[in-house]
Parts: sequence; structure tokens; C-alpha cells
Amino acid sequence: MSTARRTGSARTTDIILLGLTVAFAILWMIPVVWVVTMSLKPNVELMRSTAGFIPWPFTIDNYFNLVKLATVPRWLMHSFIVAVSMTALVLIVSSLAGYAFARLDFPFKRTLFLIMIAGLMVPEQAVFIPLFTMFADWGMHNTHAALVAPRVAVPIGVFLMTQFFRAVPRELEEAAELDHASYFTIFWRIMLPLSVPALTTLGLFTFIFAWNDFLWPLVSATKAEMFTVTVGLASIQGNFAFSEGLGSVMASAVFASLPIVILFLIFQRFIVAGVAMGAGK
Amino acid sequence: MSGGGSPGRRAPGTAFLFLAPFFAIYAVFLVYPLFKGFWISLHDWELAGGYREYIGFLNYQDLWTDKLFWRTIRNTLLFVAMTVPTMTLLALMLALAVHGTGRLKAILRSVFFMSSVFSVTVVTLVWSMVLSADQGLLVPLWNALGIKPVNFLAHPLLAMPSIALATLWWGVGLPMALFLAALGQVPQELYEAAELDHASRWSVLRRITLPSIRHTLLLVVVLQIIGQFQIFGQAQLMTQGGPANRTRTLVQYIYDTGFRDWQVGYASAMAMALFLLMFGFSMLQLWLGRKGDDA
Amino acid sequence: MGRVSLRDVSKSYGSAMVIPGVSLEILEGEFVVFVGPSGCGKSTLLRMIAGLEDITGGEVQIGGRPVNDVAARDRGVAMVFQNYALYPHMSVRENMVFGLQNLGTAKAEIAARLDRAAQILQLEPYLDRKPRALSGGQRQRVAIGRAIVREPQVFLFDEPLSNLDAALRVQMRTEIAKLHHRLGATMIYVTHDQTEAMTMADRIVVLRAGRIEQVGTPIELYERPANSFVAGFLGAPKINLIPGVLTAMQSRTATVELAGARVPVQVIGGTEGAAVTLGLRPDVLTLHPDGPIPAIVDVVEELGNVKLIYATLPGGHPVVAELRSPQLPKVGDTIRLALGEGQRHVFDADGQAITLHDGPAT
Repeated sequence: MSTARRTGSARTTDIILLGLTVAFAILWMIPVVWVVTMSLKPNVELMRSTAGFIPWPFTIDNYFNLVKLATVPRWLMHSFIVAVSMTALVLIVSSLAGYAFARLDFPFKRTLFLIMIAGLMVPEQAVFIPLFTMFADWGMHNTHAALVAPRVAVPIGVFLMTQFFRAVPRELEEAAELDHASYFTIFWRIMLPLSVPALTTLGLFTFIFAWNDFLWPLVSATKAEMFTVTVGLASIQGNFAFSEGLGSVMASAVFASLPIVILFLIFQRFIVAGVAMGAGK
Repeated sequence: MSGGGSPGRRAPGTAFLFLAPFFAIYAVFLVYPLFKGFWISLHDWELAGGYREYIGFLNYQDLWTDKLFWRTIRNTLLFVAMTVPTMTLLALMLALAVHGTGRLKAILRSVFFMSSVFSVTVVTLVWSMVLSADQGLLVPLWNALGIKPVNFLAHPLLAMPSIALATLWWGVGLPMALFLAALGQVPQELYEAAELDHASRWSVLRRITLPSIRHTLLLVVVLQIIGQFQIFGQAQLMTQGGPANRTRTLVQYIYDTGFRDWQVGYASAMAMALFLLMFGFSMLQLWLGRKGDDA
Repeated sequence: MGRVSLRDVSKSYGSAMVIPGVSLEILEGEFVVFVGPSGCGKSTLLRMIAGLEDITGGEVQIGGRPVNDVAARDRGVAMVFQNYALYPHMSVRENMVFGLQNLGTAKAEIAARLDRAAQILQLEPYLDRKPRALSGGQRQRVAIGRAIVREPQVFLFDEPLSNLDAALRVQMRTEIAKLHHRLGATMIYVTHDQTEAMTMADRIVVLRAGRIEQVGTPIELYERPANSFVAGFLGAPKINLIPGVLTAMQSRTATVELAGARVPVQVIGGTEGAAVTLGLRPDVLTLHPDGPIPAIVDVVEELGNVKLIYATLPGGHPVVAELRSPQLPKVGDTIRLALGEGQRHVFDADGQAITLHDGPAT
């Protein structure tokens, strides 16, 4: 905690605690390492034993078969389309509304803000059945739009952007106003570029949420060729999976997680920062 | 001297343009469905075939006497009771352990957060495998000890804790990040002063750290209650509600009733019950939060 | 074009009246400084001219056009903010041309104006830098440059130098004054620093609690303050304001009786025996063995060319004298102060000046 000098015994305690944490972290990662190992072993070997963390005998056939089969790559594509468009729309919608709440004055502002915040209290399970009937009436199930549209108005996103915009010095906007900028120009040329950290955090969380979304895609995307990778994996997990070959199932799990893990590793520093921003009211 | 005063530029036209996209989508995909859900719950409404008949609050009456419904509520509460305290404690301990500077701590933070980015299907796949009685990660260990491998997910008493374990592994990242953010805001001077006062590690934690982050503690507990109450994927994918409905949760029952049995009227009534429960929790949060501020 | 008129302009936040009503004519090409203690409403007044604050009552005209309902962006004014308010994500160049881009000015014209402004402010080497890579003085120059390229009718400055260190402040002060001569535009400048006001202004507007106390050239205000507030606000070291009683009134002359001293003054108005305040600038006081005012020395400050003597009068009232004589008293000495050349101000019980001045104002 403190960077100040400490006595010898305190330092020893520090080192022991850190050692324990590292040991726990290794334990934490073992399931992941094990799954990756299995995905790199031949199915025949896995029938005999799943033990061990060294992929030997080694094979990448499981991944080859995955790509050849084309189902999983197609699911991945659907996940990408859904996650990218959902992220883009959430960012646009949230930042527009957040700017209005943070910096403009208009009638019923407080009321509208409360109505927006009240949305946080509605769990998705409370609305997924009526949503299903609505999209069924419109004949829009098994489309990307059906997976994205109900997820675009995110109260927490608006809240986050409102918080962020409130912290931007007002003089910047005033200077821009005197620079003949319209409200939209102020928003587009001043506020948005300044809010890149907030947008990154919100975008990251939205992308992860979209990628891992389960209940709604499960009911809306009923055709196997329209599955997202999360729903698709669930389908092979229950059914043909374990007979088809453990290695392939593990490979598909790794394959499906890879994009999100890479994204996480690139942008991870925005996560704690973003959480601090959202929680530090 | 620098201005202040006005809450913002008065520009109603522009403001409503900026708000229009959000509130249009919000109205169509959240507000309207909420009311429609209530409307559906007043019907005997079949998903296929278009059979629907207005029956008033009959679904709610049925719910009152539905043993399985109360069973799922009990299971859900049991799950919440298992996960929320352990999750909060684990998140706090991990946050305390990995808070600070240095490359190693940064890597540790990433490790504990990373399991949160996996999808529920990957998490359940991993843990179903780990806990599997014939191919599981622990099988060699059982063999070495000469014990017959335990089938955790089919065990009446161990199935729910197994799901809770997978949930802990999956979900600890966000509360940990919340705690980390809070720890980062505790003034460093407090720790320095405590050190000069020869405070022990334990008393620093109890007297300085915990009081400083109590708002976050409350936030984490509330978020966890709300989040864990909605458990669906883990139970659906790991045990399918078994053995003998011992892990069937409320949302799972809603899903099964609506999309397996196609009784969306009845399912909607349950969804409304869930909404009311969650609404109650949210109100409790507001009330507790206000009380916490007064203290 | 650059004429600014305030007609009984007032401002209130809810029920709190911040500016009860200000009327003022600012001529084209004038450099007017609003000065006053913090909270006097000077920034609010400036922001109302800019269009950044709503006007509660009265009318603001710029170039003869009422602008109460004109948005800030359409008023043809440019403003330099106290905290610079540079767009942190834009380079110096982008900061400076942002306004012209919004106006849809032709590219060639933008480039020409940017070059001119950059040259005037010696910003050429920094055009591609981001604001965070600049020093405070450079940032302030960019903020001024951003105003210049717009070629506005009216420049508004809101305490632009208060974030700079003392040496830079003096340098920027002269630069802004030079700029004013060069551009000949109307400039309205807000500060709480009386030195800035005295050195830069064509006319100073002294504000207190949202009201104008006095308007005039720096010399007018310095030599003929309308009241004790203005007298106390302008001039450094501060004028000595010593309580006394008006006696021996003739048609134009009178005596102010202080505790242990009598000072002859010239007044118009005033009543025999009334409580008054005598205002003596520190440089009016000299040391003289027969001086009428006794005092005990508390502190002696040697500033090189002048010396400041802080002393206490018999009534317990402190007094400052600015001396040029080579021999100095010591702390604790009893000295006698005499009155040399210079105005002896007299203010009545309400603080209003009743001083009689010789001839017209210089």
C-alpha cells in the first residue's frame, strides 16, 4: 500500500502475501491453461486421458477442422457484426443524450433524467418475452437488427457519458461558442474528442457485453446459421459436443474467446479507470 | 468569479434532438415491452398457434400455489446467499492484494479480471470439464488419493455450490475493479499518518481502508444481489436445473415456461414477479445509500 | 462597429441580485478596463456582453445593434479566458483557425490571417504543438491569437494574466497594450489588479457590488476619485484613509482635525464638525522636523529608489509614507510627517469626495 519505508518484518509479510497472491493467480488460470492444452491435443489422446498441461502429442487439427466446418467462423462473424454495431450505436446514442443532460438546459430535464435512470431497475428478463413477441410480429427474428436494437438504449451508458461531460471545463465550450461553433460542432469537434477515454471504456464494456450476451440471442436467433458464437457454443456443449471430440469443443471455446481476450489485453487499462469514473459520483 | 450559476445553455430544441435517439429506442424496447409484458401476463397466451384469452390475474393466482415457482425462488435466494458474500469478500481480498504499483501487480490484476471477459458458455464449458467425474481436472487427484471421483454437478448438495464456484471465477473481476477504483481514491496521507502512529496492518484495514470504501462496499453488494438474482446461463448450461430441480432458478423457470412450454402468459407473470423483486432491491439500495450518507 | 452600449443592464440569479443596473458607453477602439474586488460582478458583466450569461434586464448593444437575444456565436466578439480555454486535443494552429472554419472562411484567407496573427504573437515555431507542450505565457498568446484571427469588433479579456507569474504578467501587459494600438479594436478587459488597470486602460470602470463606482481615465480616477472606495482601490501603496473631523470651515478652505494633528484642506460642501475621512497618498507625506503629524515607526521597507515607512498615528491609525529622502528613521522612532505637493482628499461620512480640485482634470 504505502511506498514509505517499512520495517523488515512488515516487508517479509508483504512478500509472503504477494507470494500467496501469485500462487492463487496460477490456480486461477489453471482451468484456462488446461482447456487450451486440450484444444491442442488429438481427440484420440483425450479419449484416453485429459490430464496434464503439456499439449503432447501436439496437433492443431482441432482448429483446422473448426475453420473447415465454417459453422464456428460464421458464428464469429455474427458476433462481430452484432458487437461492433451495438457498440457503435450505444456510443452514439449515449454520448448524444449524455451531452444534453450534462450541458444543455431544457424543460423536464430532471424528470427525463430520472426516467432514464429508472431503466436501470428493469432487468432484461422482465421484458424479453414481450420483446420476443414484438420481433415475432415484425417477422424480424434471426436478424442482426433483432439482436442489436433492444440493447442500444443503455441507461448506464448515458449516465457515464453525462458524468464525463460534466467534468469538461465549461470554458472550452464557451470558447467554442464564441468561435461560432454550433451545438453540434461543439459536441462533435470538442466534446467527443475529449471524451475518448470515456468512450473507450463504455465501448469496451459494451463490446464484451454484446459478445457474451446469452438470453436474448438464445430466444431470438433460433436458426443455427444465425447463432452468435456464445449461443452456438452452448448448442454444441449440450449436444454433439462431447461425442464429436473434446479437442474440437475446446478449440471452439478458445477460438470464440480469442477476440475478446485480445481486446481486453489491449484496452485493459481503461477498465479500472472507467470503473473509477462511473462509480466516483 | 468564473461564471457558474446557470446549469447549462438553454436550448430545448437542440437538447431534444440530442435526446431523441435514446428516448425513442428506450420507449420502444424497454418502456413499451414492460407494459406489454404486464398485459401478456393477464392472458392465457400461447407462444405458437396464437391462442390467447384474457384471464385477469389468474396467472398470478396460479403462481401463488405453484410449488416449483417457490422452489425456484428458494433456489435463487440460496444461490444469491452463496455467491454475494463470498464474491464480495473475494473481490475485496483480491483488490487489496493486487492494489498498488509495479508490473507484477498489474499482471495479477489482469489475471483476475480476465476470466470476466469470457462468455457464460465458455465459463460453463470450462467448469463442467473441470468438475467432470470422468474427464475432469480433479480426476487424477481423486485417483491418487484412492477416492471415487465425485460427480459434482449431479450431486444434490454439491451442484449448487459448484455453479456458485464457477460464478465466482467468472464474476469477481468487476467488483474487484470497483474496489480497486475505491482504494485508489483513499488519500495516501491517511496511510502515512497511520504508519507514523504505528498502526498494525489489521487496524489500518479496519480503521482506515474499510471505512473509506464503505460506499463501494455497499454498491458492490447491491450490484451483486441484483446481478446474481438474474442467474440463468450457468444453471441452464451446467446442470439444466438438475438434479431434481435443485438448481433450477427463477429466470430458468421463466425461460422454460415461455420457450419450452410456450406458456408466455404464465412466464410473463413470473417475469413481473421478478421485476417487482428487483425493484424492491433497488429501492432498498436507494434507502440504504441515503442512510449511509446521513451517517 | 465596435461600439458597446450597456443600458441599465442587470443580472440576478433567482432572487439574488448580482448586478442591479449598469449603464456605460464604450467607444469604438477604446481600451476599457473593468476593475474591482472579487465578487463585484465585473466578470459577469463581461460574460453578459459576450453572450455567455443571460441578461436579466436592460439592453446590451454592440455596434448599435441590440444583442440581448443574439447568441454568443453571432455577436462578433472574441474572448480570452482566464484559464486560456484552449482545446487540448487540437494543435495551436487548429486552435487558432477553429472559429474561422466554423464561419466557412476561405482556406487562403484563413492561412493569411493565421500567418499574420502568428507573426504578431511570435507563435510561428509552435503552430504544430499541442497546448500541453506550451508554457503558460505561450498558451496565453495562443488564446489571444485565437481571438485575433477572428478580427472581431470587440475583444473581451477575462483576467487573462492572473495565471501567469509576475515577470510574465508585466511582459504580457505591454504586449496586449501594443496589440491594442496595432489593431485599434475595442477591447474590454477585466482584472482585479489595479496596476493592470492603471497601465493599460484608456478608461477604467471601477465596480463594487454590481454597481459602477466611477468611470474615467486612469489619471482622473487617481487624482480625482469620486469616493473613498475608488481612492482606496487605485494606487499602490494604498492611499492613507485617516478619520478626522472637519473644522474651521471657510468658503473653500477648512481644517481636518486628526488625533493630534490638524491638516488644512480645500473642500466644496461639507458641514462644520462633521466626521470625514482624509485621504493622503503615501507620496504626499514627507519627513520634516516641524511636520504637523506625529507618528511612531513600525516597519521600514527599502525598495531602492523609494522607502516605505509604516507608522502609527497617535489615534492608533496606521499610515504609510513613501519617501525619497536618504536618511531614514528607525523602528520605534517618533517622526513628524509633513504634507508635500499633491492632493489632500476629503471624503464625507458616506465616503463621497468633497475635495475641491484646482482647475479642470488633467
